[in-house]
Amino acid sequence: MGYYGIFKITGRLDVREVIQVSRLNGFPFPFTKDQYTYSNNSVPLDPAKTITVTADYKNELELKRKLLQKHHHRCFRSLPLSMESQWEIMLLLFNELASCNPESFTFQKKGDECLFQNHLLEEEEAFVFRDVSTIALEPLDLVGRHVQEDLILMGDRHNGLFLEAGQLCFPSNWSLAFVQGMEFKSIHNPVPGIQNDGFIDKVERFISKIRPGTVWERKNWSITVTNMLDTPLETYSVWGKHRQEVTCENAGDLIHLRVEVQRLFRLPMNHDVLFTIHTYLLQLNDLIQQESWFKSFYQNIKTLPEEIAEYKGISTYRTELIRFLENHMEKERRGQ
Amino acid sequence: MRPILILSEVRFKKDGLKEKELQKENGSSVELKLIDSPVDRKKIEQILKDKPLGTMLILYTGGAARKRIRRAANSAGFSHEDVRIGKMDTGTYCIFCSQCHRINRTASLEKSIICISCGQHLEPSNHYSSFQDAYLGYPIL
Amino acid sequence: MAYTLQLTVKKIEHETDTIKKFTFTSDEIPLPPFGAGAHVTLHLPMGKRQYSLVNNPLEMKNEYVIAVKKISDHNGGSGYLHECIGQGDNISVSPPDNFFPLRTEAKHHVFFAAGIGITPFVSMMAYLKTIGRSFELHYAASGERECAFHRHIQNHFRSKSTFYFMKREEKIAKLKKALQNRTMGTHIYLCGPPAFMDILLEHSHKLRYPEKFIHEEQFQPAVLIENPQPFFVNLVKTKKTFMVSSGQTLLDALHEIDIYVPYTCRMGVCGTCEVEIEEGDVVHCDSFLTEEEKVGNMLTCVSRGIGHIKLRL
Repeated sequence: MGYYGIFKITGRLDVREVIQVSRLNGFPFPFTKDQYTYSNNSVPLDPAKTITVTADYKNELELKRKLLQKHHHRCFRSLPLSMESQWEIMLLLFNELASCNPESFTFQKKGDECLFQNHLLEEEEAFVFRDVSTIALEPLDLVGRHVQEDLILMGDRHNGLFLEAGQLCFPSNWSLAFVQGMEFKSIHNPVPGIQNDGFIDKVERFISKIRPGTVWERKNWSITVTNMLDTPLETYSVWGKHRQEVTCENAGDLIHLRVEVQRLFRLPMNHDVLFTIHTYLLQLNDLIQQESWFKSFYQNIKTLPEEIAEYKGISTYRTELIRFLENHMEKERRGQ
Repeated sequence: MRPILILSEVRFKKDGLKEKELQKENGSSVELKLIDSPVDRKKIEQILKDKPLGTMLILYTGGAARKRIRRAANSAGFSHEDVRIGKMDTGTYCIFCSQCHRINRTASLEKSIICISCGQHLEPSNHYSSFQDAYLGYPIL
Repeated sequence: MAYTLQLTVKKIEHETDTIKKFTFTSDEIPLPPFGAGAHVTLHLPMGKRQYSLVNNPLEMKNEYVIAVKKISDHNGGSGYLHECIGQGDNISVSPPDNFFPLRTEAKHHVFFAAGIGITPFVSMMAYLKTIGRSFELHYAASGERECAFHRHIQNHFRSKSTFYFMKREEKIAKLKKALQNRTMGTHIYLCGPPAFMDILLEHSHKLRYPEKFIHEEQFQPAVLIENPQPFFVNLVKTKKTFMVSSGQTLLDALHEIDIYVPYTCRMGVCGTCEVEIEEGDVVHCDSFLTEEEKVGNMLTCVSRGIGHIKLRL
């Protein structure tokens, strides 16, 4: 943690503000401008970290493992070509967990003999690097059960980037099963406006030029009408219907700002790209307590082009949402 | 001109032959292989083995055969763009059920369908995966 | 990456009369991992020099190993390393980067090397052997005595290697023949002096091999303007004229006059701050735009105009 030091406390602190701080602190608020723009908003990270351990670690891992247990075919996919990079990712993430959080994790490697200890979950993984007979799961599937992030491996091939493996438990309305094996460009086909001016080609070029050992981060936001992290396309019929239930009275309870902190890392050994996605949810009632966030959020929702609103699934209840925000604004104004 | 290999199911023989003539006129060295459906994987692998570097593969096949051949071609070293689908009327499209992953067949992308496996009402989209050789079907609530 | 590693010369070995092998290590820090085909950049008194790593990425024991052919006196990088660097010396090294990665999707890898061009392949072959993949080497040198890693290759990759020590004409004919009759799934890698590369590239064109299956090292030297000069800018749409001073980027100058160009990386890699050029000469310092795109576009965070330029803003 510590990287998201965006939340700044100004002026006098009262008790109510202190409670807000604990709830909002660490939330990666995504809006930097008061208007919606779609751009390659990636920034380099120094030090180059691919994952973050938060206070929700235990809860989220419990949920993740439950989903992997029940719906493995939906949550994990890999092509045979991905194996070497999967091993590299496993080493990388165990190493990073241990070096960034030494009280919680330990990792030792002597030659190819490895031992990872997870003190938070009181577990250990002993294995021999690149020896499949020493692990019960594929490496990506195994290491993914110790981090909060969803993990996607993009193979960097002579003809472009391809999704070659992934452990995906918390997707925002997409299906890993459908996109596995696909080219980067085709995966992004349904994003409106993204084919304009060769934009997606430029994003792909940017990713294909990321240098070994460097990490780039971008924040991607959407809105969910549940407090569920797992909203895959596969269960849309279960969670999607809540979109109809939003009113300008209950919006504060139902609606959550969902932010994905996405990081891209070039694997130095195999030259493929690791894509990690850490998903954060913030209830609208909490969000509006922070005035600058509220204003920024309101402006972005207001200026969102219709097709993007449709893509992000907001169209159904956009009117109710805006009315809720304006009511809040009015209340604040009168309160002053 | 790159060497060309045309794989055609017997039912598309006419289209395959037409393609062969066309490519010949362009000055390519062309080979046409007719295959029976359902296609035998071993046989396909044998056909695709040791083709000259730079070979372009053109497929006159539909359905499961096409997906199987495309995957075998990728394994044999053909890039995505080295495999082209010929112009023919297969009469069917494949729809990937986003709820249960079953691939359904339909005559049109314009009409919604009911998934034969899970019964979900699906709306076909234009989001196409060449890996699945299918279009994504979104759930209709 | 901007940081450098302080490494110690652990070992220096004679590979041939003119080629020395240097092993670098550190007692303090774990060296970053690298991939087959990667290079390191040494910071020498005469400037930065890049050398391919020859060790096996999967068996790296906190060491970087390079092989350097002496092609200059001690005023040049290679001569300096040969004459002025000894065991126990310290040296600054930028972490490995890789512009010559293996295409792991290949069914079969074919390497063509000439002279000191063998170095990236030494690492690649070791790696492929460890992971059990198919490859072969075609290696031209003036003779066995001058042939770096000859014994190493004989010991480890004998059945997969062909050496070419004959006269030039015969060598070329044989190498060309080795390039022929390649099949789908093969990826071909070339490394050697320009003349060697040209002959094989030309022959591969003649054989109608698609370029995507032929690989050579794509060094992308970052263009660093040593002594940036001020230049004038005309904005044709907003009708503004201003000067970019020597210590300023075009992006900053634009922001100063309230022309908002979006940006992100400020390093010439993300492409966000691209603008269209109407007229004028530009020194491109980015690693993002293609050659075609550079004709009419520039990245304002790193690239500069010469004299006077016009932009479509």
